[in-house]
Amino acid sequence: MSRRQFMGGIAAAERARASVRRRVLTGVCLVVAGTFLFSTEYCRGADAGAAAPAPATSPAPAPKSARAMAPVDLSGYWVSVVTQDWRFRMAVPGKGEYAGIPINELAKAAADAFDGEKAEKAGHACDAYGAGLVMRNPGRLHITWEDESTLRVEADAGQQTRLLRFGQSQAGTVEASRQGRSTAKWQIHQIASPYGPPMRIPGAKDQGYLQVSTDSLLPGLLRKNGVPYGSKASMNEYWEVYTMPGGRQLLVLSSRFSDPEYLREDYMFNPIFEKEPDGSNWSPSPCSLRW
Amino acid sequence: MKWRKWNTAWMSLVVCGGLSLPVQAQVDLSGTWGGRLHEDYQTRLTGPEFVDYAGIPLNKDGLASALSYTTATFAELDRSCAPYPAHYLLLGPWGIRISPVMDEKSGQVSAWRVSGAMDREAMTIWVDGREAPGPEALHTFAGYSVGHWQGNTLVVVTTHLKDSYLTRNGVPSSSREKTTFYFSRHDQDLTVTAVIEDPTYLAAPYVMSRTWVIDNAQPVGAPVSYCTPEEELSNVSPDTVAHFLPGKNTSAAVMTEQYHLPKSATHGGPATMFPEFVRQLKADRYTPAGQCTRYCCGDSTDTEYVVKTLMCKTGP
Repeated sequence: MSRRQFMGGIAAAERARASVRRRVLTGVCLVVAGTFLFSTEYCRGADAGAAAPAPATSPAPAPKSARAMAPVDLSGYWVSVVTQDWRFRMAVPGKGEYAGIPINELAKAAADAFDGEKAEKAGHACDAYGAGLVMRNPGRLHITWEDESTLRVEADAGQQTRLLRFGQSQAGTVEASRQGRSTAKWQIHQIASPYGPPMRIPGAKDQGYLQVSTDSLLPGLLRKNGVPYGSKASMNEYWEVYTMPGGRQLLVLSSRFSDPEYLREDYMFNPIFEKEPDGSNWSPSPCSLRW
Repeated sequence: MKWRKWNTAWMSLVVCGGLSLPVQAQVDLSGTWGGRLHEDYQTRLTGPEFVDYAGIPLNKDGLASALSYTTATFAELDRSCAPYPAHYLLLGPWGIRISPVMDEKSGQVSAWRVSGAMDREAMTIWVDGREAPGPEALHTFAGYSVGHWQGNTLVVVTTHLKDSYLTRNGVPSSSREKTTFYFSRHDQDLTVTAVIEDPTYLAAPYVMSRTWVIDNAQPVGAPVSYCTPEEELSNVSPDTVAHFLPGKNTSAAVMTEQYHLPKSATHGGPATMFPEFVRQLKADRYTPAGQCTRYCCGDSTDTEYVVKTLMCKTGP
């Protein structure tokens, strides 16, 4: 083999190795780009109901509705499981029983002066069925989709209805009501990525929970013996569904109730519900301050 | 050429790192979490009244055992730590501290350690795929816990618990208890829900849920003291097995006298957990008691405030 042939062989081998490197590099770049696009696609829509950002080119596919994106099925009948604060929830407690609620002096004075019988005669029985207490009253919930972006939550105790609206909350103030204005948002479970923002789990069925923020409330009661909340109160809730051993479903509402007027700190409570197969036990009853 | 080599190596590292992401979601549960006694204030802080089992799905044996309970039980060394098994996490007043146990070789979390400030033994929740040991393995107050992630919720099954108490007024729990815990972190809040099954003493699962708030202002070295058996009642003879005979519980009527609650409520049972029980209260002609005289207010974990509120004083 001549020196020229020998050197030519080396050059060819070097070209071949360079070609392999280029191919590998191209492949790696494609994988990285694909991974990036994949993860950003998954990240999109974690907050269901919020308008998805439109791409610069080509018409965007219609964003999925909150109903279509639901990571968990809340619809159906749920019965309250009263294992916590039993004496204060299942029955109307005696005067002065405020244990557990972080009330201030103003609240204590108002509760001490409260007369349930008078309040009921004056038409205020449903004050104990506002957003601050309605989920803790013993009873049943019937949850349905009012439309593609609104969950309707009916309570048979006191015959109340909460509407949980997905999407951007209406700007400014709205007229206060007993159940107030509730803005809902799906929180999709994500995995933490060491190289960027959290991602949704590729290939996995979405899992997650519902977050609900409520304001614009009429004054009401946190306990039927007269512990009040005021018109500046608000509430944040996380609605989680767990599957119990045996397959039955639990709905747990981790709730934080804030009221600058009557509470020293956020009041935290977790109403628990168990799913029922149908509405055969649905039993609407009027508001009452005696039961 | 060197640049190309480095570029290739770097890109490969990124890709390999991405592909090796854990296939299941996990959130960081570690930290010090402060309790809030806003629900079940008395049960968790001072302890429930005697013979107050309302809302607990006791079966016949559970009720009989609970009614035989007397505080003189604490004179027996082997039972003095019995009220503090794993489920005391939700039934006690304390905050919790959670830390990961790392596998040094893989760099993955192999377990979560959940300790309490006082009384309760730390739970070790194994998340490395191992299974619980056989039924004859050692039973302790902490039990044996294995966990797995469902989305961002850590689902934990705890077994191998010793015979102990469900509540501090003598509701029993047996070594056959199986508790499923659900740990869900929502930003700065940690909600733990427990489903307690005990075929010996419960007729249905007993469900509870509490929320703790992140409180990393606590010193890392804050003392943790687990229960140590010691004689608490020196006036009880060591030969005594503390108990009430059937029908002889001297505290059986406390809840009726103090809060007007009928026996149908205070004796518990699955029916007391559901809304239909209001009809039973109506049938039993329940009326609210008069002015509250003790444990009237209440609120927080701050000791000074707790003392104030036990005296029913509220403050800013």
